[in-house]
Amino acid sequence: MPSISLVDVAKRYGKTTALDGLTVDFPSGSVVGFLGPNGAGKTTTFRCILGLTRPDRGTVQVLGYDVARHLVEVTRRVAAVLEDPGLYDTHSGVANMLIAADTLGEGHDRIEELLELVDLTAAAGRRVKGYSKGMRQRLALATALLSDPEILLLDEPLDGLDPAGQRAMKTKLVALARSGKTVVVSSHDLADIEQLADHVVMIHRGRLVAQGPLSEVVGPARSLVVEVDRPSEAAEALRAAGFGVELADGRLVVDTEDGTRVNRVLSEAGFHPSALTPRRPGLEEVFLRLTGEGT
Amino acid sequence: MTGLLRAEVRKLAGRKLYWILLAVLAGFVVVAAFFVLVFPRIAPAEAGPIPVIDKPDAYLVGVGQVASQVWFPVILAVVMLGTETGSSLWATNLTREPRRGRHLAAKTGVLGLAAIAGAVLGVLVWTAAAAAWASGSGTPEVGDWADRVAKLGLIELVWVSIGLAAAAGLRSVGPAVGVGLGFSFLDAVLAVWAPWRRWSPTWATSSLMDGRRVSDILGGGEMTAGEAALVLVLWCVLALVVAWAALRFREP
Repeated sequence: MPSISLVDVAKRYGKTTALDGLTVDFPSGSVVGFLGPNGAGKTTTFRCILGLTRPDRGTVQVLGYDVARHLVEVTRRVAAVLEDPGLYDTHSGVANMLIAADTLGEGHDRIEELLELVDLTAAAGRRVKGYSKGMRQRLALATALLSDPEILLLDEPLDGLDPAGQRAMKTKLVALARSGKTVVVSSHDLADIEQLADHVVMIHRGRLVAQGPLSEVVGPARSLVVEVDRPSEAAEALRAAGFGVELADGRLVVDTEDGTRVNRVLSEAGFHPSALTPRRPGLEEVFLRLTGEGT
Repeated sequence: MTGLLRAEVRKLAGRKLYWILLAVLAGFVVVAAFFVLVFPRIAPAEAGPIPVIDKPDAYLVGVGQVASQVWFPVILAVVMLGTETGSSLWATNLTREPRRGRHLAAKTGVLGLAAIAGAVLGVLVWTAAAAAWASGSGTPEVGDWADRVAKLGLIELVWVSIGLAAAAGLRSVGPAVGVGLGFSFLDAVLAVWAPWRRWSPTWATSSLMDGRRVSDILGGGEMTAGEAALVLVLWCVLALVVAWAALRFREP
């Protein structure tokens, strides 16, 4: 059973169509990259899942519960960190955790452990007003984990973080997925999702564009990266054999998946490549191809 | 529900706003006490129709004065809900507890008690002022005190509810404060008009508190205490229904 299932979900805000008959399944127990450019409908999708927004039509199910009829059950199993996490700036980090725990009806015994998990133990007593963006994101993640949810929805969790902060957050998210949770990470940054997700859902203008395991969505390798001495001359040999070749940073990018043939051509021409590496298209290429954008 | 109540207490206790409002209320009460209890004695010509009030009446008049400080419960309620509905806090809280009615009930309970505590403080400040400044002797019966403080509790709850309705509807602190206080002002002005007076929360307040001096100035109380209490309860219920509907049917 998918953890989250949307069937023909539509939502308009005045004249703006946010979701246009979206039908999609989010699988369980993995990191799911939820992709789309700004305005694609990612945040609206999250809000429909959380019951914050009522769709104009369609159904949203979470772990088998219809959100429209069993929102309380859904809320017990899903936690979210919205793009702008709601925190009480006038209160300390630990006070925010206490307020969140009380609102959830949870005990306080995991607070210390969760603050340690997100590396905020030292800053827990300080007012959130003085926290950096990364600290706020981490505190929001800690509050989301208080109820030990089965599903975690994270709306642009890496946005605004410095590289070290992004690395740390990615590590935590992968660890959460490995512990059995379904972690859905929305982002407009395709490179981040490539490093993070096992499964990808792409939407554009409120509609599904692609979904599936990352390897399937990205597709097979379409080119080879060849490391060889005298790359310019080796490129000429490959072009003479009918391959398309580009030089990039002293390496050759050859437009074929057939490594055997490339190796034979180079060997016959007297070259000995030190590496032949399949190069898969990036998510960005895939996204642009599927949506027809950027052409 | 217990957890939600605890959460609301934590939110309130951690805000300087509440303590500042208490201090301002105490200051207003001292100033009001001076002008009601001292000024008519030292400057009767300037005091105009305000009579000299001696003990024990001087104590009980203060309860009505505190009740008229509706800005305190309105601002308290508007700020505590408005800062949530005007930011992502409200949506975040709904992801933890999606039933808006429970949030509203918890806020009404905690903020109502907080407003009552503030009003009791105001009464204590007035009592101290009256003890020090008013002439005469004697203190009211305990029953009189209890009766007026209970009525004061209902009045505070009404204006907390109106503040919550304003914040829920407008989702922004500034406009909601304006609407809440504006309503109290407009209501006080409209209370001179008989058809409105029977439903006016301001008039019901003064009738309930037996504010003889206000009714003497404006022209006779027409409500019994029971009728006044009923009007206030209806306003409380109406405001909470409006607040719930605004939270439920508007997109957060």
